[in-house]
Amino acid sequence: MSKPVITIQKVSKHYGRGTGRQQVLHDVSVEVKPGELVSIVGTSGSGKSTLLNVVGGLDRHYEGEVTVLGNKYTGLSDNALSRLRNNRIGFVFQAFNLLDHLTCWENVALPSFFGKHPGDTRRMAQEHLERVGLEDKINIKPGNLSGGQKQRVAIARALFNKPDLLLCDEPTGNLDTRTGQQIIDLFSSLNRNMGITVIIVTHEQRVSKVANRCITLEDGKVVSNGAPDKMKVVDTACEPVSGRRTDH
Amino acid sequence: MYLAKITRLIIQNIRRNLGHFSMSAIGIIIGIASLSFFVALRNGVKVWIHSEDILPLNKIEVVPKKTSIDGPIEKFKPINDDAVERMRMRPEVMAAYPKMKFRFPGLARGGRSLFGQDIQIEFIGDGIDPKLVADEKFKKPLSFKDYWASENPKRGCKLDKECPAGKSCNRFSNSCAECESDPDCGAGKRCEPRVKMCIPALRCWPRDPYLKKQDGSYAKNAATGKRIKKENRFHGDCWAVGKRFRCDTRTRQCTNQCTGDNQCGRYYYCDAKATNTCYHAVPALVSKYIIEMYNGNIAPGRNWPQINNFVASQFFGLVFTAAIGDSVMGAKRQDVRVRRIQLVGISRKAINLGVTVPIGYVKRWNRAFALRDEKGILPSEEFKFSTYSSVVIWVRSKSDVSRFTHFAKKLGFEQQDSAAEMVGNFIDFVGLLLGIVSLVILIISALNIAHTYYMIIADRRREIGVMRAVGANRWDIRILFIGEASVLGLIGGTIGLALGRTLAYFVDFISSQYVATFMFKPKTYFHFTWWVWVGAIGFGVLFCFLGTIFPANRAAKMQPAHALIIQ
Repeated sequence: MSKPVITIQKVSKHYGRGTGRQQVLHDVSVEVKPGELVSIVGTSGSGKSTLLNVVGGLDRHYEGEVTVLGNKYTGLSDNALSRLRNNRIGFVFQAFNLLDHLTCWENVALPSFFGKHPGDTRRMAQEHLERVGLEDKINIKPGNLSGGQKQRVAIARALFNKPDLLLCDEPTGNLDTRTGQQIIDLFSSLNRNMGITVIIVTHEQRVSKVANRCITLEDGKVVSNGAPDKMKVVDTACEPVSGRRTDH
Repeated sequence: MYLAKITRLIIQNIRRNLGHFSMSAIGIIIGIASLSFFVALRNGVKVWIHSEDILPLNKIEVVPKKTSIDGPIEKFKPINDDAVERMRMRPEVMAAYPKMKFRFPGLARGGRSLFGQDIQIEFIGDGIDPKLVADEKFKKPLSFKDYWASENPKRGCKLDKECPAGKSCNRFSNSCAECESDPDCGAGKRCEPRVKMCIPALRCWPRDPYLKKQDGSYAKNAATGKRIKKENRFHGDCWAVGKRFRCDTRTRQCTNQCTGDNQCGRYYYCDAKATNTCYHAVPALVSKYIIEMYNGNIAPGRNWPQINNFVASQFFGLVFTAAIGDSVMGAKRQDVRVRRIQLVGISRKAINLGVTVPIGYVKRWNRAFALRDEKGILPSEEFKFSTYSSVVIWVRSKSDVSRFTHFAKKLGFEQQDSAAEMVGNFIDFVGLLLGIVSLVILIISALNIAHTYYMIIADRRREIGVMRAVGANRWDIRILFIGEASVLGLIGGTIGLALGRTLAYFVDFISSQYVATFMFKPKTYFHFTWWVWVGAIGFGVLFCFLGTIFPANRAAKMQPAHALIIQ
């Protein structure tokens, strides 16, 4: 049996102190296997994005153990964590987070600015843009693109370092239904064809429908975690077909 | 590769934040402009004072101690050759040049060609070692050297007993006789009867006075078609013996005997009143101080034209007569000697009022006018030609001055004045003060840059988060912001330096056009050395760097997850 890509053990996180203390994650334990496409669903404030940030190493203030791609985050230096993100993890955000003063190809090639990525970065960026259908937008700045195109550029950037793990935080949140569907299909095909492990934090039921697994968070706790064929998607949660919530 | 990519990002960020950066750079530009301006001004003033030899910092003039207020009057200690040698041997001393003042009365007459009539003034001056002006260039073929010593290697004398045993003192040449008759001189030489010197026994004849080309034909002047005359046409081979020799057409022998100046070579004159011998005119220097005084004080009041370097150079070669032993103020000496003095140049090392000639002439003249009795020169008069009025000491550096002054005091001498040191320190102090003002401007600019960067970083927090998410580590973020600021400093420093230089040009222009001429007025008050250029730009970069350290550190320590939160 292959080793899990992500192992989260009893991770808790809170914001604030004293009376203002707010617990956002409660003893969350999850495992993700290689090649899985996992959707994390839940209401606003349920801790989905926080969990994704913890997995991506963007947030290091938590309790518990997180191991990603064989790297235990506890005791991992900032440099090593940055290298891990630079080489093996891709991020896609709801707000695209493209740098407006850079052209599309420069945005795509951004990871190469901070790490060792041998080869012609412009050509590599061009190839990734072709993969997401934006070969004619290489020298265009993001300000001149539609929301869907921006998200495709962001996906191309996430794919630039040929990641083992793709972390997507509500990637369709700012897109219309049709464009959102195209993006979901893109993730699905990346997962199927390239074997990339994809974790998508989302509100959208259709995302959960294409996922191998659906994890529901509620008030910082995992309330359901199962394969879609054993779950039904209700509002912003995946519920077991039997009506009883299960822990994975 | 990494550097190239980071530079690309930096340049794009600068382009994007050009507005912010322009405002921040204004402080740096003003700071660097004022810093470079003031530092160059300080340098310029120092260079002006020191290089122009107005107040060189590593030059000291040592004089005999005159009075003492802190004890009984000390015995007068003269500066003699021994004292000069002891000073010269000091490790901190680069060179020591004694000076000797005229210790006889004299009267100078001349200037008819310039003023329409001869002007007669008291002949005052001093003598210096020609080596002291070795680095100065004189209009060719003029030269500042002791011609008499080179043409009369024998020691000067006045009485027979001053010469070695058996030798008499020749009254014409004032040198000890080399010979009495031709056999004393050996083969190929003859004894010149009047000066009792051995000279080559050349038969001479006036040569063809016209210049010939290699093919044997006469060279002709292209404009007039006339044949060109040789310079030494009358003296033939005699000039090989010495330029004061000529061919006696009657005896066909070389001789330095003469009855008039026309029988001597160029720049030579005939001492027709005493020795009937040709001598080279005594080279003399005048001080630039005289020219500056004329330009600054005399000419403006009388609407006379200024004397610039070109006009001054027209005076070089001018010959006037000095009657040594004569005076308008005192009694005339019995043995007045007439000498021709030739102005060869202007030097800061010359005496301020009077003329400066090679020290050998002064020694001989002072010796000649020392009082004598039948035994020779009176012992009390020996100081006139055996001691010096002062010694110019060049020490290796400014810091050696006090050490040497202490040594000179121990020898019983004193420094003529310490104005150079005081002025040097004052310039340093003012320069430091102005430099501090500039640094304060730069510090304020750095604080302004820090403030700007805190704002920029707040604006760009999401960008920082994205870069961290794609793999930038903390140092990448620091380098990015510090790099931006350094480029800003580089550009600001360069513009500031250009502004400072332009301002300096402007001040020099205003000075040249609207400020009245004054003594030693310089062409420029500024000296932009290589380290001013490098330092100004370096300071620009440094202060921008300092201003960005804290904001960049804050940016680097930002949690990527927090930075990515949509505000």
